[in-house]
Amino acid sequence: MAEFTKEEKIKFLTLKYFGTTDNPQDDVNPYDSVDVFLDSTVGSLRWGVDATVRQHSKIRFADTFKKVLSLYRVDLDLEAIITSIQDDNKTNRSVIEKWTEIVIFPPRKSN
Amino acid sequence: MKNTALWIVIMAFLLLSVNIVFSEESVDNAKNFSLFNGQYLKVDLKFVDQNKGDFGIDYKLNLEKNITPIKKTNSNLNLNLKSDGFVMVKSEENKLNSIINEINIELLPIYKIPGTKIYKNPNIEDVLKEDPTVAIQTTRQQAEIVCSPLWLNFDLHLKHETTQDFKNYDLAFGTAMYISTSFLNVPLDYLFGLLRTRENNNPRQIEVTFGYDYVVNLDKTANKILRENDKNANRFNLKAEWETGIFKAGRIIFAYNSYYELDAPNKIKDANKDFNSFFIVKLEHLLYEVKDAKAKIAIKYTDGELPPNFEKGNVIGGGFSFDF
Repeated sequence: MAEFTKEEKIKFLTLKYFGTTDNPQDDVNPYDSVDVFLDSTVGSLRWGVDATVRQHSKIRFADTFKKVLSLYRVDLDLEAIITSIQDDNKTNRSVIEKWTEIVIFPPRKSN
Repeated sequence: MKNTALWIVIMAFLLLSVNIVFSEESVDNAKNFSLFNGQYLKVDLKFVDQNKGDFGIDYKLNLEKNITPIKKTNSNLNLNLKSDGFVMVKSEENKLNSIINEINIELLPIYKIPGTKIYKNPNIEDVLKEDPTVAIQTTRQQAEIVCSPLWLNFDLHLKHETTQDFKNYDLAFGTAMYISTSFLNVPLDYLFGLLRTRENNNPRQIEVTFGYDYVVNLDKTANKILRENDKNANRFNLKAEWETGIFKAGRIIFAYNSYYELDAPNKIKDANKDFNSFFIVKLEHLLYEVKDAKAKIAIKYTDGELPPNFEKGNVIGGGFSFDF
């Protein structure tokens, strides 16, 4: 069965990452443009002011993101998601590239 | 002031030194080894009333180390080193200065209410084919449905609470329970929702903390004359932080922190020092169309009392806010 290409995985994870951070019930995404979002750092998202609050926001995001990916039978380890967003100095683009290396996609349904 | 400057230098050094790079054969193969998994330093520069010291810095530093995941409960055990400071150039003019250093071990989460399940399995191919705006909107809706609306986290901590000249201090050790929830978003956000002109500038879950501290060394604080021989105290702590969107590119942040001393000595009660609270409201104008909207124009109002001395004060500060 055919697999998704690296570019397709990046596109899919980008749309899901952007949309999940923009969750209307737990919004940490201040950006309107996906390109600006990708070039910006993880730390620039609105995780919170207090360090503990920021940490908890990241854990909540990771949990929701994992569930959203699971809807598509895409498997990304929860620990890997959390570890990737702990470093505020990484860009969102580099976080997605890291995920692309370890994520497991199901085989594509059409060729 | 010398002590404060030295303290800031120590913290900056600590933050810079936590990332050590070990090089193997070539730069391409270099492995990053971090002593801590996450580090965060936020600094608010504030210009204040001249008779309150002209200029001050509020900072928050956190170094985070993952100790171990606990698969059985789907939790993580973490170690955190934290420092929160409200520092003024002239501490004599403004008694609202405080540095709280903390080490804690945290279990997160200990419980969460699961979100709603979606049984339909959508197609990856459809996401890749459709307009990105539609795909993002679909994801927002999915995230809203599946996200857990209530979380409980727990910690054990040790705090060193001091004035910025380090002449007054105490030690507190205890425990805290953290509750994050989206159940309160609708009532809390009602007014701000009316003032919002941009979509997708929504609230974050509120976080409320209930804590207990056993505080020692209170004879080293300015309130020792009110305590006589009573050097220790049982203290409850209630904290909350919430943020939402306002206008086109504004974010308004509320933070509340209160302390209640159980069975406080009569002189402490008479001086109204058994219950102390501290409140921050901050309005930030986001540069949301700019890469790394890290610097924000901010107006910040702080009012109340902070450990260790719980001296009353308020500050309206304006300036810039930076994340490092």
